[in-house]
Amino acid sequence: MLNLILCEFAKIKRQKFILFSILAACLFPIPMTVLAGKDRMDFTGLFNLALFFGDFLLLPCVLSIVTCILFFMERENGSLKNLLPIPVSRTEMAFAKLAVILVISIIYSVAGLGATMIGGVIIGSIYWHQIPAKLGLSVVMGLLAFLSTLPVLIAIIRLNKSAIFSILLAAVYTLVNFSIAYMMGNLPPDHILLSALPEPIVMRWWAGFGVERTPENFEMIRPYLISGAVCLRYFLLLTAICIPFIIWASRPQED
Amino acid sequence: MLNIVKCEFEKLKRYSILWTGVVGVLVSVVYAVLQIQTGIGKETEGMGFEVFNQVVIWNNFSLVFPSIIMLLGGFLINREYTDNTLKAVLTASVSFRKLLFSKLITTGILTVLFAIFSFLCTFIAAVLVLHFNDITLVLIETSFIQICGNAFSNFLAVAPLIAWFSRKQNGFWAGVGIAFVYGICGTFAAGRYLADFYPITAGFGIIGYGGNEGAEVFHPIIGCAVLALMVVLTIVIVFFAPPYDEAMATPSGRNNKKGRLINERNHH
Repeated sequence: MLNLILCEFAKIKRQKFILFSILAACLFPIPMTVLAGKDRMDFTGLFNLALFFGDFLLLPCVLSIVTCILFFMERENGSLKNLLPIPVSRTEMAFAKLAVILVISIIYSVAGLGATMIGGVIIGSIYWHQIPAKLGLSVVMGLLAFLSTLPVLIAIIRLNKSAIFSILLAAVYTLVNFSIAYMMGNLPPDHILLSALPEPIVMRWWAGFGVERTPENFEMIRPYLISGAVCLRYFLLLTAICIPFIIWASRPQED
Repeated sequence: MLNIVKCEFEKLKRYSILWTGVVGVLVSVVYAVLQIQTGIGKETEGMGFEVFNQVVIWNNFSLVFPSIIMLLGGFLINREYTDNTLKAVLTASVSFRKLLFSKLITTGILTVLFAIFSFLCTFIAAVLVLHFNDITLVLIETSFIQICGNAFSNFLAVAPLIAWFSRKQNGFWAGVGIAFVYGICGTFAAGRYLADFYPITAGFGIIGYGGNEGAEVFHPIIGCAVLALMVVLTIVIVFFAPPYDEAMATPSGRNNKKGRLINERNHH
């Protein structure tokens, strides 16, 4: 499997994926830095804003573009016929490509932190002692963003449509998730969408420790919060459900 | 120019890209319905059609229109590159600049059509889903003008991006990402008395967004000046559009040694 993943990385050398994800990761921190400077926000506030919009809203769209390029590459270059005689199953290839997407997701998230740190230096409010913790959180958020996007990535792979259709599908999925996570406080804590969709789950876990709150505000948000263990169980379950679908999606289709 | 725009609409018949606009508009209205429904019973109790209309406009500019407009405009131009039809158009004595202008005008007309669709969805959702009973003819007229005006001002704000990112094949994808962030940042600009200066929200004062409260906050003259600046910027970018050969050259062809040799050989 490791060889397959290395092969996938070798294939994308010319695609400038890494550069693309790093540039995309800088899109939100730039205006957020201006905003933080104007509102005299501290580094934690800037980091939270950039992370919320960058990882919850933009990253799933970036991952869908990367998925389209990675999975449709063989079809468009006509190199699929060369791969078929090699004793590597389509499922193994699909898992290798998903591993590449996971790495890109984490790179995006860490690059977002890098861009935010530059923003923090510019506004003159950076807490260097918090960087290791924020780096860890960025890596976890990159992983969770990838897992959150997994259902729509599987749909993109299976439907095998054009890039525009795939990105539209991912955008609608992301907007639904983001909207529910964004207006979490307007819904009752036991609302089905808050427990079913991945991004609201991440939000309910992250809101417990990631954001500084007044005691009144914390009391208001407390019924919505979930522990890390619950979040972990949810994503383990989501991954377990997605694995058979990945195998199904990667099976050859009749034209 | 009119004939070229007519031709563009003929071409559009075969493209399924228009569905992205339809889906985008529907997402915006559905999200607004959800926001209104979850808001009722809390601090926003008693909201009616006027507030719903404002929520739709807010969702349109922040989430949907900038990226959809960029996607549509960019796609229309990009098809000429990917289908290799640019050379055929240019031999029909239509310059690249003229073609870009016609594509921009087509995108502007499409934006207004999507805005009308957005207004219809807003009205239907207000009547059939939210059951508002405060809908008057004046409010309907205001809603129509505001939704269409906001969409058109969004188009003017995004037009320089379309013109810039359409200078190279597939360059519009980067533009879509930037337009998306450009739209989202409008929410921060509007919340900090910067709406008049930020191109995406510069139309607020002109369309009378926010009613009487909005009239105190937004300044139509500044908004007009900012949008006029966007129009001038678009014209300048289109005027300095690269010639056909440069626009069609692939990055590898321009940058690497082999590509340069091929270009030089072709030139001689």
